[in-house]
Amino acid sequence: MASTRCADLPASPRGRGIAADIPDDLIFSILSRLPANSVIRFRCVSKSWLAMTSSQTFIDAHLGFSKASGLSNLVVPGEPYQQKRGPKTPLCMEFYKYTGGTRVGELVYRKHIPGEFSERAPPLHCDGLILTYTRDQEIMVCNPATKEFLALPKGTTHGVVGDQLVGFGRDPCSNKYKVARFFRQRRAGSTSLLECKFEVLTLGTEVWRRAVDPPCRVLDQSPPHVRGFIYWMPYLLSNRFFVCFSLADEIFSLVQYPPCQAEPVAFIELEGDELSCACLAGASDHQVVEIWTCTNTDVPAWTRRCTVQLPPEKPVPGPGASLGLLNTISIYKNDLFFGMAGDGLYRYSIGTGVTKKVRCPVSLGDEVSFYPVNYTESLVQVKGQVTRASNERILSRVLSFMSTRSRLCFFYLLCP
Amino acid sequence: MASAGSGDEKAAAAAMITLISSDNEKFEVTEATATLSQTIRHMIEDGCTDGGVPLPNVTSKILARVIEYCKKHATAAAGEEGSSSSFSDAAFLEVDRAFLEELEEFDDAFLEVDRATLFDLILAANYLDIKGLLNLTCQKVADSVKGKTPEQIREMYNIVNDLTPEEEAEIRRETQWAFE
Repeated sequence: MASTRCADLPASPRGRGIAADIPDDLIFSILSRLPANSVIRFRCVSKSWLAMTSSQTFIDAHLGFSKASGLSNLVVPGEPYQQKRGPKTPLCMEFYKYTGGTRVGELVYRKHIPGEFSERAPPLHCDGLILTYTRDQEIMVCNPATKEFLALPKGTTHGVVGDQLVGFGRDPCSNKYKVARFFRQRRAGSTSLLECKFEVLTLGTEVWRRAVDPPCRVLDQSPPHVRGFIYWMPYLLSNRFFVCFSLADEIFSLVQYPPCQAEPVAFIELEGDELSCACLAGASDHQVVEIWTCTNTDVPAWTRRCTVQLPPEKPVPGPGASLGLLNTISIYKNDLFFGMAGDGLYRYSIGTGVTKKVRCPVSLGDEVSFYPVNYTESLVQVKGQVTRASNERILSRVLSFMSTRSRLCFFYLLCP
Repeated sequence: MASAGSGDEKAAAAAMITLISSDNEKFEVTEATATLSQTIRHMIEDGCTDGGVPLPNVTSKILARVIEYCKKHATAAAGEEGSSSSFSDAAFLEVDRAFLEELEEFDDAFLEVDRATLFDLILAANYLDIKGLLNLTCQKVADSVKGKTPEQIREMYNIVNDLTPEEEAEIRRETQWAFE
């Protein structure tokens, strides 16, 4: 459609030029309360609106209002269960909006990437950015609200044995997003000795920086980030300490388990930026989940937030069984969301104690894993704050990456 | 509760503030109502409200509306403090909820104004630094424009499009999905 220049139109008869009377900071105030989609559409209203809404200050303010209006719940289906550890497949990402209730809503984002990808890990979220990684070496970041997508450079591969374990969060000091990668590597000159290694990439840069070695091996469990720290479960649960990585200082520390009889099985995301974890209790059947919240991570003070009786027909495997069967737990308002490996997604109402399966409209069948993740819509750029030139370079890299790869499906459900 | 309430009212009644609009109309309000405005709160703290507070940026029509908002929300704030300290039983929470619903209804009705008035309210809320009112009015405008096209926005608010047709076409091409 040809653009109509407003200057060529007769002055609006319906009133005075209101926007001209409104100071820029109030236009800013109004625009920063809009959904991301509207902000992006209004970028072609005028030069000043484009400049304002593209600024980092605006993106930060918009994120603030988005967070204040409440976290949403993002549910991410993975591959059908039987495909796990199977042949490598292309990749297809789909994002669905979840508008509450027992079924999934509209498709908001779709991306197909040809090529061969190994099994994906549960996705990670920070400020509207979704990080997806495969067990071997691919790491991708996208923003479903702005449709931006970025494939990160590969990290260390030489002598690496086993899976990579990735964490993602914002460094509160530099306000930059950092991706942290844990892996095990053969010691130089040795064929059998494996060492735990760790490296960090700041979004907007292209380099993995080697960080200090982690204090111990960590568990393949989605690591949450809380106020500038990423938390991992220790590989040996009997250690009774979580491994905590500071995104600002890039050093490790240890945080004691909650004073609970049972061992923690999963971290969960709570509203309000608190570290929480789920512990399986109950005598032998592990039918009770306790949710513990750590109110102060400097001097850990754990409080039990709630105790959930799981439905008897869907037993969660105990710590002795495969931890992988309980994918992720998230909490949204008064509902807990349980993603069960190969068995979809369950919503448990804390108020009524009723558990219901969330229905998915996609034709994946029941044997798909779902990953519930708390989500905040934002305009945060996946490329970080980079110059125009390097933006173009990254774009050309992404395009060449996309032309060489293909199928693998994610389904993201977004709660309002 | 009733006797305590009337005592508070008496105390508040003693501290009245006079606000003077740009067209020189005087409004007498309680201190509790006036201090919803951070700007006026600071003036009171600095002790410079004797003889009235002149508000040269706010007309009497808009000031009357702003005071209406502050009166309602000052009562609400007082009610909230009372409820959290001394009551927590279900019956009281029920009353609390009814009150919050009433407040929401008030806000909705309050925002039923034409566009020019709404913008005047935003300007006044900004000048007087009334966070709740600024949030409410900005959100109202945001809600009313969120589904519009860029052309509609330019026409509604008399904004001159100073992007070249090429620049605009490029932005639209990059963000085509936002227009669907």
